[in-house]
Amino acid sequence: MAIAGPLERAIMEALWDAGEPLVVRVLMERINAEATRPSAYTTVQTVADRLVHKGFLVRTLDRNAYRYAPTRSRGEHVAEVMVEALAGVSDRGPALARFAETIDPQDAHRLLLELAQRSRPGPSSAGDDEP
Amino acid sequence: MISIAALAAIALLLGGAAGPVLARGRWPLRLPGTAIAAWLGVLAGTLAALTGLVATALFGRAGLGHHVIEWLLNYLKHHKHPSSDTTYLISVLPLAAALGLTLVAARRYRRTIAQRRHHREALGFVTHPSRDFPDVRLIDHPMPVVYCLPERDRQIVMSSGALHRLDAAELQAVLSHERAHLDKRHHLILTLIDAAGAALAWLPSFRAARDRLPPLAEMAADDEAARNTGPDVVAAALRKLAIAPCPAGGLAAGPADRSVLAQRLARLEGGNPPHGTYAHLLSGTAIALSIIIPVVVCAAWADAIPLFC
Repeated sequence: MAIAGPLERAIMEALWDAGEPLVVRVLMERINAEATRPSAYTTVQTVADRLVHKGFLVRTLDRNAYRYAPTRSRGEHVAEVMVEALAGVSDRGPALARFAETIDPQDAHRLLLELAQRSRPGPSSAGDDEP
Repeated sequence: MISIAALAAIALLLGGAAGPVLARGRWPLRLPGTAIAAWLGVLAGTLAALTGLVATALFGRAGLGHHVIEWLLNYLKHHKHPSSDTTYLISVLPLAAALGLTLVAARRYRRTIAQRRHHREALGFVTHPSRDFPDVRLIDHPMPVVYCLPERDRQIVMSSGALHRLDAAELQAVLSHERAHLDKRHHLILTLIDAAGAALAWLPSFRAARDRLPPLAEMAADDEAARNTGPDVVAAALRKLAIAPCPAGGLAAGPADRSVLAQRLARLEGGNPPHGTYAHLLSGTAIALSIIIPVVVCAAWADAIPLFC
């Protein structure tokens, strides 16, 4: 488990940088190009599957090989984390003690959207309000 | 029967009346740390009295628990109290209710922990350690956010937006505020009370505790930060990191949060000196009594029914 943390992050970053779904072999090559200690094929596959299970990646079958891609773009992921940070992790549970104040989840979404000033309003936002 | 009446009275007094009285009081704003302890005393006392009631019903002379013990002891010495299936059923009902409520609380607790873990993982992909503070992780985003994660490595998460707004002294104030949360185990307290409140929301004290304890935890952390950097600096940092007054307009937080922020600013800027030893002594006594009395009543009752009766 202690090793999985950095590798999980490396996989997420490699896939965000790639901008397209990757098969495990290509993913492994890109990770190992920057790592001091190379990761084995099966290790990368196991950790990537775990990320699929946790909802951070999606896996699609393409000509007998699985291709992995992030569920959300990096920007959307950061926005998601920020909404949780601003509004508390769950809408009904105890808020993480934020320094200044905790705001309504919908206000948080709106604030982030206005701040981003993008025309595309993030397709994930509709599903986030469900408990 | 006297012990049942006494325990019920304690449960009503602590669970029904004490919380709302605490919530209305003014002194908790001056002594938030003591107030948190007083709240915990009220809730623990209520739980002790409720547990006592369940045990009294189960092991009372006509109860099923008592019958089981009798049955075990009959090998040594024959005796029997008048009882029936009806009284057994009545004696077990409180236990069943207690188990059901415990399950509700446990599920709520586990859900909170799972959500927190997921948030922590999601955060791990997009934060990097701060160069200046070993316990701080930074997330690159213009919105000002600072909060702390309670698990093993006790990390403080800060957005670049928050970092850029604060000067060195204000940054220290914010960090001591968050470290105070971690040192005083505020997350654990709030999570447990939230879970207990999910099961016991029908008791006014538990409902009130869920509303009142988060602001008290913030005020206690404010005081700790104020001791390190002075109250003015903490107040300045609060103003800079408050989201509502930003020019986006019409995005104010809910009225409850707004008034909490206003209260925190008022007590930091008012220079209210905290009360002395009397308040500490008084509340300490009240806390001890609210837990000890139900326990003593239970013990006295248990003593009145010797097992070899």
